[in-house]
Amino acid sequence: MNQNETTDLIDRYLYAVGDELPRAQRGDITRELRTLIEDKLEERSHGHAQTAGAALIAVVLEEIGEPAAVARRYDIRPQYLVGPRYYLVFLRIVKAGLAVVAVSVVLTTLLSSAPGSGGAAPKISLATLALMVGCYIQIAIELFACVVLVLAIFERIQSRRLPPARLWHARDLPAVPRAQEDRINAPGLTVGICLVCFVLWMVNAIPQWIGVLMVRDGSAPEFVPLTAFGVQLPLFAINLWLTVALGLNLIVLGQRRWTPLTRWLEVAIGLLATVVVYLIAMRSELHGPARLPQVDPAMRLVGRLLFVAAFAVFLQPLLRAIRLLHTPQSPAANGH
Amino acid sequence: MQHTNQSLLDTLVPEIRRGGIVLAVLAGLRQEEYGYSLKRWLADRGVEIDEGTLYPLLRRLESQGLLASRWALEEQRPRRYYRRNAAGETLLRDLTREWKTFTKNIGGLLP
Repeated sequence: MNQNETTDLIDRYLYAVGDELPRAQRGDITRELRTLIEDKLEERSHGHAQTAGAALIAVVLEEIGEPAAVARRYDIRPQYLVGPRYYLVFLRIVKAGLAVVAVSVVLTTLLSSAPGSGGAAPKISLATLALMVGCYIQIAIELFACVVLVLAIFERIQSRRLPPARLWHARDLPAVPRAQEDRINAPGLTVGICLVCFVLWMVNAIPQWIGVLMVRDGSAPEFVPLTAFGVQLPLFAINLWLTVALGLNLIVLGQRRWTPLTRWLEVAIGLLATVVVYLIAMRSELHGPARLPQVDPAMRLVGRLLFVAAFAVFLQPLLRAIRLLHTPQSPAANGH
Repeated sequence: MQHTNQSLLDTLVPEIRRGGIVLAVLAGLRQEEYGYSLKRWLADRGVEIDEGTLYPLLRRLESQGLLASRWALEEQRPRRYYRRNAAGETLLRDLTREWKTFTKNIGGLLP
């Protein structure tokens, strides 16, 4: 065994380790490992590392460990995309996102298949249904990938920081909720806060990007902004509703539980949401032949759906109010 | 049963050692040492740590701001020398106090 062959064995080992290491650390770590190997060889060969045979080198390398295993010990990055820290948030976002996508795709298909102005019969063929399912699967996969990507980035940013030392006191613990429904869903509230912020930004900064994708007569999907349907957004009411909703979510998240007061506030915000959707429906030009006989039936469908949406939105605060009125008040109410 | 006990022992002994290794490494870096010299110093005192654990640990402690390091050429060989910094000193002091209390209390429980 000559010098070249023994050096080659070490080089191959270090190359295999370096292959598994992050690029930024590769040179530094392999350099340190090379010195370690030489130190060990020198110790075993009584100060003559250069004359160490391949057998001894193999023993030393095997002692240090299998290259991939050695590299893994240096790598402190998380070995997963979404870990326990963000898993619940991930589930919430994906579930909510898939539901919103499902509703959007169904609505878009209905709109796209509505009869033309000539009064032809609705056309929801098998091909349209297949297109709807295909579209849903495609958007669902993209949504899934985007959420995983964003949370994976968060995981990596967090893993570089030391966990903060949390100071807490037992007396600061929130009171036990008087009922199961007073328990908050922290990830859900957090997602809600993010969504409200996003919608606030969208409504005020890029309202022209709020609309639907429509497929007409087999042509490529076309984005149609809401304004094209004659829908006018009541900005003041929307801003008021979303700002109050944002404030409520933050308060509830801070209190770590729902109280009767915040529940009634939730009812009020639900009513405000109803007013907003009703205003949008009323202020749009899609009410049908009585007001605008030339309105496209697809657009008229949107107009009717807006009234249905207003009623659906109204149901939530109504049911919540009924439940609140039938819930016996306890001394623990309002946290006193 | 003998086999089960041995496999449990194989699992539990590293767990007992894990907490002490950081303490041993911090204590060993009372002066500048490179990885292999630190390993030998610890081994001479009965604390065996394999290189696969020691070298990544030194990197991790450094990335956590507890050690400082520098490269130096010695005997025609580049070596990375590590030493405790102020944060490492503080942590060592706190860990030592905790360790002594812990071992004293556990020692009181053992037959």
